[in-house]
Amino acid sequence: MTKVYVTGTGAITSIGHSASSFWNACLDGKSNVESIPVHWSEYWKSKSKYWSPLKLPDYIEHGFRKFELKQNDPAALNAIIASKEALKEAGFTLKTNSERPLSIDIVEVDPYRIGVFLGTGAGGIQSLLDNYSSMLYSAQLEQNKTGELDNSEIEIEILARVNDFFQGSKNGNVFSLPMFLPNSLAASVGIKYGIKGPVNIEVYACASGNIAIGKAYQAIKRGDIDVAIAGGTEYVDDHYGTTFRGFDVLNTLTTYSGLPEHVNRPFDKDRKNFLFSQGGCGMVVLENEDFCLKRGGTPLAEIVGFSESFDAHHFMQLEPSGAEIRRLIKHVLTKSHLTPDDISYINAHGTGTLSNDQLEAKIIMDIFGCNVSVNSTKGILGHTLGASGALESIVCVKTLVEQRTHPCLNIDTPILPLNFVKSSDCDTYNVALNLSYGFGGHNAALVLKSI
Amino acid sequence: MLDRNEVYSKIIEAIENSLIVENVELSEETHLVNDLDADSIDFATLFMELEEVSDKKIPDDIDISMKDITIGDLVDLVIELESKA
Repeated sequence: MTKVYVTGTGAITSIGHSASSFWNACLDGKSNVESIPVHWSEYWKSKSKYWSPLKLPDYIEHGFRKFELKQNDPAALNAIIASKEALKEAGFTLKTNSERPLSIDIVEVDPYRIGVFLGTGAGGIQSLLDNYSSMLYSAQLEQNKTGELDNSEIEIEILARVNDFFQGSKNGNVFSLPMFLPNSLAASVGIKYGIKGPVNIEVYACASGNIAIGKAYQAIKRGDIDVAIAGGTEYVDDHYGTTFRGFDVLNTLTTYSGLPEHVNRPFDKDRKNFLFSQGGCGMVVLENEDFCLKRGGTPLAEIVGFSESFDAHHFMQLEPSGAEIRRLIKHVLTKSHLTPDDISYINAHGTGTLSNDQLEAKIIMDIFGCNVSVNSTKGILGHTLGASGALESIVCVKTLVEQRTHPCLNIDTPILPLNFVKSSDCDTYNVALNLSYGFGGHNAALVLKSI
Repeated sequence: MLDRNEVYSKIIEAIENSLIVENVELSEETHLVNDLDADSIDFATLFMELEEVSDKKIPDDIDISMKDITIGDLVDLVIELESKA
């Protein structure tokens, strides 16, 4: 059976716009935690007061034409940029297509032997919300002109306020439909890089990024393709704070009172749920061994196993015994021909919610004992939803390459005596396990091995 | 009210933001389909840009023949929209 290698990584996060800057910020334990936008309080009263905003890249500097910004959701543009970084790190030659100047050919690979596997939680929700609000606004403006509104002071004030955040077309964005269809994110990557193999969107809430990489691994293992671009992307932004509020009213976001840098504290006894991240993107390039070595590629890590399971319990709560997560871990170890003792590092789902961390820590302790190194990348980034599993896979790859990983932040009193990583000093990391669970009940486990 | 030259400049900006314009000198006589290879998607993008640069709403059901349109026709269209405002 062919081996599957990770040969490239790319990332856009709130703490760095490349895989290396993201990784270095992780090693330094640097977070980006800010107060939520003040104007949200004009609409609703939040319980959580902090988030991790994502500054978007300058897309024109990255070579996009202005009209591409109107035809692709930011989550898609970020995936295109992170894919390019991953392809370049893998050593592929990228060349502008002579007939289609917006497309880039990946010179060394047959377009029929490469696929895209992209995870997302909410797809192009940014585009849907923008357009919906814009249409509502323009309808009100039209009514105002025809005198159907009585032009009372309050209506004029409302229109003036809304006008402040609408600078775009008065007709909304005519491309909003193709932009908010979830598959458009993967399609945007496929179109940009001329990929004619399978182009799939993987939607499993917070497990999406991990499962997308797992599906890509399986497709290469089956022999369907030689190369895959895989990962996860998320970008949620709207004037009203809709998605943030959705999580806030469900009591899933951090209400820890203290300094901003202390509110995000997975696996700490005093954790108060997760830090909402505005989004991010993590992409990896996977290749089968023969293809990689033949073209002179350099493997960074090997993927040796992937499994998924489903709780069939509740949309928002983990099944309390953790039976399906335990089965998932045992299954992935069997498929990887490994025992619990072989795992040296676990990148936990580690959201910081009361129930997730308690159950996950107990499962890790029961199966692996207290020696395995454990950290939570969400403790640094906040929760990037559909991108999280992919960014955490990149952390696993970097950990295996550099033989060091990032510390857990803010664990003053661990909920269980696990070996939570305290510093980014070098250690021995041979095999990494990346765990992810998503709303709905989706569980995923990816096993990676050092070269 | 913008004069014809000002409208023309805004339309050139909108075209450059909407289409790939390479090795073509633009003028009022430039034909969008024949000279710039514009297709229906390009027109949708262009009209959105025109709405932004002119701050006017172009009706969804606008009666205009895309296959014969020149930049000069677009200037006329925006001036007409301005006059109705």
